[in-house]
Amino acid sequence: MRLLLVRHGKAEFGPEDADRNLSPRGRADVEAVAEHLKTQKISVARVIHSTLSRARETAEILAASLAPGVHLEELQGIEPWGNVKAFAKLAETWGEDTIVCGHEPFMGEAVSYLMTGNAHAGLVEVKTGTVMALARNPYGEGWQMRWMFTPRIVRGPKREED
Amino acid sequence: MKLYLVQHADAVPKDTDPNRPLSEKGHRDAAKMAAFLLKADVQVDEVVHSGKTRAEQTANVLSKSVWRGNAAIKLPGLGPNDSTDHLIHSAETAGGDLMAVGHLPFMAKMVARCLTGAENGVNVAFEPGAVVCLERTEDGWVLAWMQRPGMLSEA
Repeated sequence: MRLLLVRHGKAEFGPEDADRNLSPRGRADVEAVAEHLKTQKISVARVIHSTLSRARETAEILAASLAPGVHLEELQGIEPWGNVKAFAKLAETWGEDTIVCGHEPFMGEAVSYLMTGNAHAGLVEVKTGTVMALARNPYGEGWQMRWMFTPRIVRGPKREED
Repeated sequence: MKLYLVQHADAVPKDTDPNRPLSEKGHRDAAKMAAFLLKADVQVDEVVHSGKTRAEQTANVLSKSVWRGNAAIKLPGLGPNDSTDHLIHSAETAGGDLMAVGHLPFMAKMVARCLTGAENGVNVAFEPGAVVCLERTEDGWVLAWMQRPGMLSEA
């Protein structure tokens, strides 16, 4: 089982944090990441997102490329300050390749917790639009990092239109 | 400051050639990774290798993309079972971005030591030709991205 943890794309500013949408740059970043994953024939059975708009939008873009027709699932408890340990326990029960779209600092802490047992190990820098693929560690406890991308790595250097 | 840790690409077996140069697949994978790094606009200030043929060849292919085609430099202390002390020291005093091409288990220990302080603290999925990018922040090294040639399409 592969767990693809994604931080939402760059979002617009707005008065209500939960309602903030992706910015044009954020959408373009997530579309580039989705396209890149698709060319690598990555597909998933489930797509999950937090209760916040920017994570749902990110999930929609990824699902359109990697899991067309799949029913998006909203999950509580993975908001920016969600419960990392509860999430880890839940993820261990999943059997199918799954995308989870969420936030910082939650996603970085989740990766650190899954890989080391310490949510504050500070293992990763999770920029907007980053995708991190984890699988169960074949050599021991916990999870192993399989690969990780940022939009910047996929899109190349910043361009004028950004 | 960034540190790129690379496992040499696929090499021929010892009984085919005791020097173990890159196999055809190794050349192909290294070229794919070089194309990816070029597109990603990765540039470094130095590319070093362990001195073994398969590491040197891989380093020179990647150097075409990331170090203006300079010939990669042999650095002592990058052998498969060497201590990670030397490279840690080199990376922390480099004053620029460094790419190091070497072997397992050394590279896996290096990643774990940078990220957690312990050489078995964490496990990332290396394979021949894989690149792991670490970035030095105020709070120490963090994983910025990692990529394996098996995931890249032909250039």
